Parts: sequence; structure tokens; C-alpha cells
Amino acid sequence: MEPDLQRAKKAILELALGRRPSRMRRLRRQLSAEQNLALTLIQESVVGVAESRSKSDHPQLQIFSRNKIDPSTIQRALEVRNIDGGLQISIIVCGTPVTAARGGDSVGHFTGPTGTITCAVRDESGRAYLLGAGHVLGAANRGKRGEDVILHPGPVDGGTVQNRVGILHDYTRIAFGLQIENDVDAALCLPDNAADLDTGLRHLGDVGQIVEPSFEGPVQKVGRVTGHTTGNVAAVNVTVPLEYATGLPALLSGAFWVVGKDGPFAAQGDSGALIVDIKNRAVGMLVGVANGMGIATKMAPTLERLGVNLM
Amino acid sequence: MIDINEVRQKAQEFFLGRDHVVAVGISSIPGRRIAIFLDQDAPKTKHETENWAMQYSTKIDFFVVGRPVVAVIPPRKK
Repeated sequence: MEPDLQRAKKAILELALGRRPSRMRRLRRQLSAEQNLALTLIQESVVGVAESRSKSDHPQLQIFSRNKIDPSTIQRALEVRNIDGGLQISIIVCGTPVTAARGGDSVGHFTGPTGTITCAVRDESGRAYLLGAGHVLGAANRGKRGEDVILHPGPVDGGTVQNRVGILHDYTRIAFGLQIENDVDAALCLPDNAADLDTGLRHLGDVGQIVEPSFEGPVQKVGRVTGHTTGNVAAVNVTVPLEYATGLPALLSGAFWVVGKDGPFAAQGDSGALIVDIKNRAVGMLVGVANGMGIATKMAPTLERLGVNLM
Repeated sequence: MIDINEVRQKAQEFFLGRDHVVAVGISSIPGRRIAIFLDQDAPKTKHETENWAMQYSTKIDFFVVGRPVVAVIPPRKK
């Protein structure tokens, strides 16, 4: 590797990903406002760095970034370490690297439906699964148990066969039409490797016991589209004809509705999101939306029907 | 006075399936209150629902919510 490239890579690693806050504070006091801004930007964006070669075979510094960042910002940060700005820099926007699948992440059936992971669950034998909405992982009754591939993230978020997390294990069959009531709509993914699962919810942490939806206190969820939102239960024991992606309705009963506190509680793509109270106790699974309000099934019958418990 | 869950059942039988009614449940507003969810084209008149509610000593809260759909992102059309 070229000496400057090696130094630059080391500098970016140290400045962007270094874990020595006291040293960084001392350094920042000696920098100009412009250099401080560059440091802040790279600390918020850079997730990795590598050496590579450009198309014209020149050595270049490859920066992996959560979001779009200008190469000049990297140059400015390198000046902090007295590294000259002549290096070629290539930026690859790769988003936030995700390792284990966790409640709140994007997930989908390989044919395309994309929603949100509810959380990790396990059966009586201790085998771990990913729980999600039936109309996402089970492709609304079209999924083949033991065969269909589940992707993390889901296909709409760029998930391909390389993002396979496991296979469709089981789902609750949806009775379409308006004669038979459904009280759950859920599915299980058996992971290829149980170590690929993480318990609890992204941003909210571990999930406790199961409680019934109540009007006391706010609820919250982490969804693939709207992220972390809070709201209040507006109604319980609701019967609602829910329109599925196929255009067919199915009658959902025993549901509860959540109205968002500071805007929409949910949107399309949040299906499967676990709704918890402020003590992180599991209340239900988001399955539908109507003008930003969330429509959810209760957690206890969902787990019971699939023969699993929270992990 | 009959239980609120029974009132909810009667409300479902009476209202669900009618024009503009998209869901029926028990309202979070304290008291014996039924929640009726309406689509955005629903007319403002409440006369009929108020008459219905009186016979069960209950009140009705209306939520205008639009069309309830599953919260999935469907596959992209190729």
C-alpha cells in the first residue's frame, strides 16, 4: 500500500471510528470551526474505510458512508493529521451496516412483500424464530412453508438472495371475505443461523412480559418506515374489514387502534412492528394503517396460535 | 344495563357494512362509549347513530380515518 494511503486510512479510522473521547475533545479544541465540522460529519457518516484502486489504476481511499458525504469533507478531516489533500477519494454510500436481525428491522418474503420484524421468539423446545406479519412473511396465504426464502432487509429495501435470513416456517391462514373473523395475522421465519437473531427491539432494547392493550399510558413501536413513534390506544375490541394488497378484504376482530402522538403512528411498510407500552411490555403486532393510525392484533393470541413465546 | 362488550357487538351488527363505516370498537374516551371509524367521505349527520346509542345508554365517538389497509409494501411491479 502507498505510504500516504496507509496514513490516510489510519487517520480516518482514528478520527471517525476511534473510541478515545478525551483525546478527541483535546484535539477538537485545537481545530478551526471548519475542521471541527468536517470531523463531526465524518463521525456521523463514515462506517468503514479501505484502500483500493481507481479505474485508471491510481491508489484511492475508499470510504463507506451511512449517507452522502462530499470527498472534500474527508480531505478536510485528513488535514487535521497533516495529510496532504492530493489523495483520490471514493465514497460508497452503504447505509447503516446491519448485523443481526432485530425487531424493527426491514424484512420480506422473497417475492417482494416487505414489512417489519416483530421480534425474536422461541418454541417449547427452545428453537428460535423471527416473528412477523402473515401478509409479509407468509405472502398472504401464498407462502410455502419450509421452502420460501425470507430476506433481511426485505426486497423493497434492496434485499436479495444474499440477504437470506431463513425460510418461512409457519403462518396463520387468513380467511378472506367478510364472513369469518380473523384475530391474528402472523408468520414465523426459521433462521438459517440462530446467531443471526437479536432479541428485543432496535432502539428500544429488551421486551418484557405481555399485556393487554389498555387506555392507560402511551404505546410505542419501531417500524421499518416511520421508525420510532409513540401514540395512544384510541379503541379496543375493534372489528374492521382490512384491505389486503391483493385487493381482497379480510375481517379482523379483537384489534386495537393507535393514534399517533406527534404525527402518524404508522405507515405502509411497518406491518409486523411490535407495539410495546412505555415499560417495553409487548401489547400487539401492527398489521394495518388508516390515515396514519395503527391497527394492531393482540400479542397473546398471536404467540399462542403459533406456539411460541417471546425471547 | 347491558355490558359494553355486548353493546359493541350490537353496534357492529348495526353499523358495520353500512356506507362510510369502516370499523367499530370500544372508545378510549372514558364512559360507556362506542368508537365508530368512518371513511373520509362520510356525511356529518349523526342523527341516526345518536338514536341508536340512546337505547343502550351509551355514546358514540367518531373517528374519520379513511380506508384501512394492511401496512405492507407490496412487491414492485416489473
